[in-house]
Parts: sequence; C-alpha cells; structure tokens
Amino acid sequence: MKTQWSKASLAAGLMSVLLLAAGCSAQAPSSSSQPSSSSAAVNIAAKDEVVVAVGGEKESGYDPCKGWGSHGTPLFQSKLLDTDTNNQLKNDLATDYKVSEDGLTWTYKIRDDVLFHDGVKLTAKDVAFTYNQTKENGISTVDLTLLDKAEATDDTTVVFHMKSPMSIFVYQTAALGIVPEHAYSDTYAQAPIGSGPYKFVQWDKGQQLIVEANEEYYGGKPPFKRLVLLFLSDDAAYAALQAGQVDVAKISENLAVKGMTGYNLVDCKTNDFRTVALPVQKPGETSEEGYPVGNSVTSDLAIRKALANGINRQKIIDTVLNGYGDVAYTVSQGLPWDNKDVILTDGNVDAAKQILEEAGWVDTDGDGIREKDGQKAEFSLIYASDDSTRQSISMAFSEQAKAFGINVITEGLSSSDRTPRKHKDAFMLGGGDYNPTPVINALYGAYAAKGGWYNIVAYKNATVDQYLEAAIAATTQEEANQYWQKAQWDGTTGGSILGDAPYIYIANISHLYFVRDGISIGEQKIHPHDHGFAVLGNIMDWGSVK
Amino acid sequence: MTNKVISTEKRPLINRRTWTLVIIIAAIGILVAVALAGLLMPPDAYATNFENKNQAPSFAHLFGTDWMGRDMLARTVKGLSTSILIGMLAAGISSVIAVILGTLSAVMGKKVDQLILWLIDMVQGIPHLILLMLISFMLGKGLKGVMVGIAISHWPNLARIVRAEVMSVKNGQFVQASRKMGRSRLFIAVRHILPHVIPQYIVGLILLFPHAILHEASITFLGFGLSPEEPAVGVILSESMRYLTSGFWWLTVLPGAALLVIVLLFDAIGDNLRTIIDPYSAQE
Amino acid sequence: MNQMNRSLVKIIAQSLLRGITLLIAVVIVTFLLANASPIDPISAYVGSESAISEEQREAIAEYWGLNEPPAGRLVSWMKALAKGDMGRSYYFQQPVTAVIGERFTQSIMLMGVAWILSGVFGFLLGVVAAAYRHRLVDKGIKAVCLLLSSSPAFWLGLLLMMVFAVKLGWFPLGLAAPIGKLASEVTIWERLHHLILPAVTLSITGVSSIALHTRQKLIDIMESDFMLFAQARGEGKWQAIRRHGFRNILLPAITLQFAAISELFGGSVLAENVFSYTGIGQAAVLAGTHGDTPLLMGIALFSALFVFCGNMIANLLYPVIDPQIREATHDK
Repeated sequence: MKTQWSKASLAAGLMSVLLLAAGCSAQAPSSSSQPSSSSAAVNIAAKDEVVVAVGGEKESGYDPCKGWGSHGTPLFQSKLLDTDTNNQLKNDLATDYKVSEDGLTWTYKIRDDVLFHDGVKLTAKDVAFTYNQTKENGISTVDLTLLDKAEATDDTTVVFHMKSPMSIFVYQTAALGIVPEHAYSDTYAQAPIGSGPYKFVQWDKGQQLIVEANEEYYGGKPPFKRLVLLFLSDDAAYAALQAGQVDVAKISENLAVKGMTGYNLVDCKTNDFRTVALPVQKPGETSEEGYPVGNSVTSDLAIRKALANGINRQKIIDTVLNGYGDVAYTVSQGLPWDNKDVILTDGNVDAAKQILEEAGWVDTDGDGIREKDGQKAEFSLIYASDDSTRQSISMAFSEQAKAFGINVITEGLSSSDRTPRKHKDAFMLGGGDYNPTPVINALYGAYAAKGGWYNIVAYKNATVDQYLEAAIAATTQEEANQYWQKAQWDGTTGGSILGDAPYIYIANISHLYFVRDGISIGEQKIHPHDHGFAVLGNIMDWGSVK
Repeated sequence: MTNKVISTEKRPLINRRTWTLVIIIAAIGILVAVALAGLLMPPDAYATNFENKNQAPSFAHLFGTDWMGRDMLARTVKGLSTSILIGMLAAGISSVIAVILGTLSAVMGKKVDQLILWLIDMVQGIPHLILLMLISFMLGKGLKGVMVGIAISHWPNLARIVRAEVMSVKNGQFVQASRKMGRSRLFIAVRHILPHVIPQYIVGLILLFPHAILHEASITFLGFGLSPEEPAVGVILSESMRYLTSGFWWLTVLPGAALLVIVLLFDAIGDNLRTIIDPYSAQE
Repeated sequence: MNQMNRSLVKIIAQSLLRGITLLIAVVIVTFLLANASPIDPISAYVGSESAISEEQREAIAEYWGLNEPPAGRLVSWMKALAKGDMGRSYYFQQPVTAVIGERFTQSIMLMGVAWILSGVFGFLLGVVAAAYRHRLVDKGIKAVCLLLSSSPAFWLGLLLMMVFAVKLGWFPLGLAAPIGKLASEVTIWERLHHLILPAVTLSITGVSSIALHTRQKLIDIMESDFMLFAQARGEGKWQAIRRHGFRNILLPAITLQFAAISELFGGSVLAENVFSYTGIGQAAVLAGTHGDTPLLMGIALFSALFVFCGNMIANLLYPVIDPQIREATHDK
C-alpha cells in the first residue's frame, strides 16, 4: 500500500472551515457510552497495552524529513502546529507564530519545556535543522522548495525565510515532525527519537511496531503504556479480530457489514478520495525516471468527459462500499478551497454517449466497444493488487464504462510493478487532505511526470498553473482560496471534470474500525488519506471505558 | 497421441486393462471438457454484478457468488481451464527441451552428457518456487511471467527420464546388432530408440501437469502471478482467508476441491498409462 | 575400507568442484534475471511515494554503480560477493546478509521441525501401510498421501489456520513471536508455539513422498527371500520387519529427505507467507513485490547454496548405504 500523492499537513486552520459534522460515529448499539478520556483515565480497569491493526506500513521508516507522518500523525515526533477535531490549527510545539506583511518571513516561538526521548532538550536549532534537512532531502512529501532557509535566532525562536510567499507554508508546519539534530543520521528512520507522546521501541518490518508511552510528554500522560501497531492485510486483520487478538482494527467495508461481537464498528468520515487518474498526453515521451508517458485513448478529452458524466458514483458507493462513503466530484469536496460549481448529474449515461458520438467514437464492428480512426476505446486501469476496495471500485468503474462503450481493462499490480506504468495507464489513486496541497499536487504542470505520485497524468495547462502559483503566493487565505477554485474551473478551463477532466473523482471513502468494547478511541479527527495511521491522530484522547 | 501408444501394444486386452483404459479416457474427457468450457466461456459469465454479491450456493450459482457478485463456478472453471492450458504449454515446451537435451546427453558422448547434467543441476539448484519468482520478477509478473516461468523450469526431470531411457536402450543388443548391420544413426534413433523412450516419456509428461498446475496456483497466491481480477485458481484460493473468516467457506472449499480433482485426474491418467505401458514395474 | 575412504574423498572433491561451478553459474543467472526486470532501481530505493530531483537521481545512480554497463556491474557485484557483501536491501534498509542471517534462524527452525515431522510421520505411515498391505489401513494411507500431495499446501495451511487458530484458538494466527512482545522477551516455548502450524503445513509437502517410498521399499523387502525365510522360521511380522526391514529402509528414507531439501525450501516460502512467519521465504516475497532486487538476488543465491548442501549430503549418503548405486554412478 503506497501513499499516493495526498500530501502534507492536516487541517484547515486559519480559514473558517465548514464544520464537517463530527468526524466519527459509532454504529453498533453497544457504543452508547463514549465518555471523555479524562473520566476514562480514572477507570480502574484501564488497559496497559493496546493492539491496533493499522493496515499499511510506512516501509521507508519513521523519518519526518523523508515523509513520515506528513498526514499529521508522526506519533514519535511533535510538530510546530497540530489540528483539532474541527480541523482548526492549534499550537503544539509553537506558542505563537506570525507571518510578515510581504509573506516572506514566518516567525515561530516554541515551548521551552520539551525534551526528546533521550532526555536532551528540544530547541529552535532542532526545528531549523529539521526544515533545512527536509528541504535538502527533497524526497519528502512535504514540499519546501519555496523555503530559502530556516534559522534559530535564539533557543525558542525560529525564523523561516521564504524565496517567495507561500500561503500553504502554515500547513506544512502542521505536517512536519521535529527531529533531534544531535541524534539524526542515515539510520534515524529505523529507530526514531522525537518528542512525541510515544517512544520507539521495536519495529519488525512487515509485522509490527512497538511503542511505549513517553512519560515526560509535555502534552500530558499518554493513555496506554504500550501500543502495538500491527501491519495486517484486511483479511488477516479480520481473522485476528475473530481470534480476539487485536483491540482496534481497520477493516474493509465488506467485512464491516458482518459485525463482530465484542467490538463496536466506528465509521470515520474522511477526505480520503478515490479517483481514476487518466493520462492526458499522447504517447511518445519518457519521464525522467525512464517510464513511458501518455495514452492514446485517455488523451482524448471526449473519453475523459464521457467517463466523468457516465460514471454513477452513488451506485458505486451503495453497491461496492456498502454505503460507507460520500460522492466526490473534486479533489477536496466540500472544503473552503473547493469549487462548488464543479458538479454534474451523476451517472448520466446519455450525456456520455452523446459526447462520444459527437467526438466520432462509434461502435462500427458491433462488439459493444466504440472505435475511432481504427483505435478501440479501450485502456488499462491499474490498482494496488493488495487493496480489495480499490479492486472492487475499479471493477465497478469498468462495468459501468462498458455500458457506454468504453472498455476499461482492470489490472491489479504490486507496488513495484505499477510504478513503471503510472504515466501511461489509468490509475486508481487515493489521496486527500484538509489543506489545499492536493489541488496543486494533482494539477501543477511543474510536477507533471516528475516522479513520485504527483500529477502522474502529466497534466499541463498554463492558465491553471498561473492560478496555482497565484494561490501559493497569495497573502490571505481568502485570496488563495479563490485561486484554488479557479484552478479547478474558471468558467472556461480548469483541472476539474468541467474542464480538462484529468481525474474522475468517485468518492471519499469512510475509514472503518472495529474497536473492542471497553476501549474508546475518542472523537476522531476527520481522516486524511493515510493508510491507517490517522486513527492515532488523537491518541491522547483514547482511553479505557467500562 | 495416447491412443497410438496403446494401439501399438500387441498383448490381448484383459479385463483390468479395459478398466484402466476406461479410466484414462474418462479422465481425459473431463479435463478436455473443463479446458474447453473455460476457453469458450464468455467473459460475462464471470463478470461483476454488485447487486448479486455474497450469495450462498443455489441452482443459479452452484458455487455461490463472491464479494463482487461474480459466479464462483464460472470463475473456478475458467481458472481451472487457464491452469490446464498453462500446464499444456509448460508440458509442450518442457517436452521439446527435455527430448533434445535428454537425447543429446545420452548419445553425444561423455563431455556433452556432463554439460547437460550440469545444466540440469543448475536449474534444479535453485528451489523451484524461488526460480519462478525470479523469472516472474524479470518479466514484470502477470500471466506472461507465470507461463514463461512454468514452461522453462519444468524440463529437468523429464530430461533425466529421457536420458536414462535412451541410455539403457542404446547399449541394448538389438541396437548394437542394428549398428553392425550398417544402419544409419537416424534410422536407429527413429526405429529402435524412440519407440522405447516414448512410453516413459509420455507418463513423465502427464505427471508434469500436476506440478505445473500447483506451481501456478502457488506463485499466484504469493502475488507474483495473475492479477487479482483474473479468473485464476491461485487468485481464488488466495482470497480464502477472506471467505473463511467471513463465513463463506464454500467460496474456498468448493474451488479448492475442484482443483484437487483436476490434479487427481492427471495423476490417474499418468498412473494408469504406466500400468498399461509397463505392467510389471508399475506401482499398484 | 581404505579403498572406500579414498573413493569417498574423490566423490567429495568432485561434488565440491561441481558445486562451485554451479554456484557461479547461479550467480550469473540470478544477476541476469534480476537485472532484466523493468523496475527502476532508483525509484525502488527512494520508495515509490517520493519524488526526487535530477541531481539526487544522478548521485544515487553513481553510488549504486548504475551508470556502468551490466558486465561491469556483474563483475563488481561478484567481487563484493566474494567478500561476503551482498549489497543493501532497499526494503529492510539493512545489509542483505544481515536480513538473511536474521531470518534464516527463523526459517531453519521451521524447516528443521517440518523436516523431522515429515520424516517421522512419513516413515511411520509407510511402514504401517506396507505391514497392512491391501488392507483398509493401507488403502486409507495411500488415499491420504495422494490427497495431500495433490492439494496446494498453502490452501491446506489456510484451512488449518482457520480451524486451529481462529475457531479453536489453540495456536496463534501467525507471526514468529507473540504480538507486542519485544524480541528480547520472547521465550523458546512461545517460538515453538508459533512454529507448530506453519511446520505442520510445511511437512505436508514432504510426508506423502516419504510414506509412499518407504511403503514400496518395505514391500519389496518383505517379498524378498530372507524375509520369507525369517517368517517361515517363526518370527512374527513386526519382529521380522524390526530386525531386517528397518535397517534397509531407514537410510534410503533419510537420503530421500535430504534430496527433498529443495522442495522444503520452496514449501517454506508458502508456509511462511500463509502464517506471516518472518522467515527467509517471506522476505523473498516482500523483496519480489517491492522491487528489492539485491535482497531477491541474495535469497536466490542463498537458497541455491542451501539446496547444494542438501544434495551434497544426499550424494554422500547414497554410496555409503547402497553399493549398487555407487557402482552405477561409476559405470560410465
């Protein structure tokens, strides 16, 4: 399971975010009692150890400078800012922060009482080191290209000098965990030291991560002495639940409906979208990584538009996801930087057929698949072979596309095998976050087929790029939001389904957990795309209940 | 091909032999039927139908339907058919390699023999599954990887059989006599050696199928083979844990049993053929 | 006796030489297979989720020697190999030798237990079947052996897991140690507890061939003149088997066991993956699915070495136990 281009920081903070209802709702009747963690902590039957099957593993390790925890849950490390359950930014390490009028200088004041797990004090130097290191590495999902340099002016003040204004920088500070300069090395990712609520103890690759409470944590006493995070497939997690060997487990929507005695089903709302990425260029070019770019069928706008119109998103949610999801037309459905005008009639097969016919795609040989200039309306859709949800969404997508004459050949591949094909075939991607970075990651021309999972469709639209750059350079969030919206659709062009339709968004899928009776996972934040770790985002609110 | 072998036998048919023949023909019939059913099956038969998911076995769906509403019987038959075809391909290619190398090894003198034995040892030196993984890794996994891997890794055993048979006939009296009579090497090979080698060779070939089929299922189970949406037995069995934990045991037990039956049929053909060809040394 | 020793030395020397040439060939073949894969080693190294700059790409390519022609890379890889350096695993972020060393201790326990289980049970079943030849027991054992050898071992493993781990809860679901236990806290009993189901699964692969082979051998012996004579002299069936049969069938069975080590290794890949048992077979699959070429190559080589040792032992045992085979191998 790979993180595919959802990027950086959580939360909506500075701008007035629509309160997206409560993030989670427990469904089983037995979950009527969900007391706050403070009362739970008093409970005598408190458990010392909690076993959580989180799903995906961060294979490259736990180094924030290389991308760990960028969805807001570094666990071992702490960040300058954090987000609350309403996705408002709040102080974490920072006590205060401000940006200069010209947007070129950000100044953060930090706490004076924070210790790393090895007992050494965390200072502004460590913060500056972390940011400079991340920028230098350049391989983190936290993009700091616009940062010139970070410097510590005293032990508690760090100043970030920007090359040019960067409106989304504040979200990056809610994404990047701080590493200790004195204990940072090439092997840091394998055994991290930080200042977060839990200390690293042991990592057995492909199996489990064992962490212990940091009793010195400045944010209070962590609820459990020890957490064991298991990396199990959906099926194995369900088996482990049946055998009673885990306390909290992420499960797929198919297994969720079966229920589980002794466990509550918790349905967490997310901004974790599933989308079909359609290569927009004609074949011919090769990416820097040496992978072919472009697809002769999906590069036709009519094909992409037909899919955008003809796919019935609600039906996919009802039948495939068993209702555990919400329809999404855009990268950030319902968020302040989302363009509300981007909407279509869901499942409009007639419109799809009309678009195809007008563009010259007709079924001449009677096999049910349209052709144009001897080219069949046919392309491959790649999904992660170990993700049954992506598989079934892909197959439902294919089933629906066939109804209006497009043959979508689904193909499940392991991580190393899908990478070489990311620019030439359609992809079932996941992503989504509570800040505008997914918009730029998906559409920015400078990211086109540059490696990683940003803009893999190689979408380049000069007008859209201008809007994106203007949004980044904006000095107020309101101004930025306007540009984010225009980048999607300005009335004539844009990177949404109304414009060039490089991505067909389908749904924001719910994250489902079975939680053992007697354990509360608190009020969850609205989850970003994260492969399972987001459930730990509010770990300090977890507790035992009776 | 098998019929020809049988008809060249001159001994009178006894009752037991007839029975053996019946078994062989019936087994071949079933296997051919399964292979053809899979080949001729329209993709719609195992297409997704999300309104129809997770159904228990019924007359409409004898094996039930899976979590995407696909008919499990159709998936199984199609998968078994693919397995049989992969087995045939493996057998075909392996047999060509085995005959050439086995014969060369036996007739071309000590040096060549050593070289070929060395080659056999090398292929067998890497555990079979690891070799299959390597080949599949090289070819970017998928159907191509499985087919090539299975096809080019199953020949060593057969080559050994061929070599041993040729070796034993070569020094036989009638071959020596034929040589003294001035017959050409080709004549000797075709008239004397081949008829002797072919029976053992065919049995070896048939018994290669179960190996190939089980390896195909295994490599797919490990994620190196066919893509998860393909109707392949390995894929179905790799979903076993999902079905078993969620109580749909029939979705794994029935396809598993079907695979078992196919493998047993090949075994039955191989063993019974051996009884006919070589009634004395055959296992009971 | 001296004669035999000398010929033994000769056999050992020959097979060592042969083994070395084989291993070199395996090294080359492995290298070619692994390097022909379409996976970009740099992307595999940095992880597919990250984008890197052109300069960083160059630097990594330089570091890994990717700019050299394949022949040059092969030579430098073999040089490193000669020093015991198999490179660094992308996935585990550790030297390949360290990964293999750590995981092999797990695997060797698993394979060892399975090897003994299949040997003992196979042998016993074979003896019982032969003793009660043509009776119901014999037919039953034969049928079970046929069924076991014809069904995919990983599937049987899953069924075992469902029954004994999930439904009955007698054994853990998987992994090589209890969930959440630190490596230093794990006891030998816990390891054994985690070992049983995968070992039983793995032994299924070998048990039927040993059983059928032993049965056949024993039947041959029981039909031989001296056994008939022994029984005519008034020895009971079991007594005769014990006195004359065991000696003649035990060693061939053991030899067969050594020769089956290749199967055992392959089977452990499946058993380990069913039970998420953290051995070398599971590492092989992780390497393959994550594009970790150095690790996959390392494991392939290691498995070849392992199989070579098994075959070597088998080869040495053959002539010791059966002079006829010795004759046959020397005959050409």
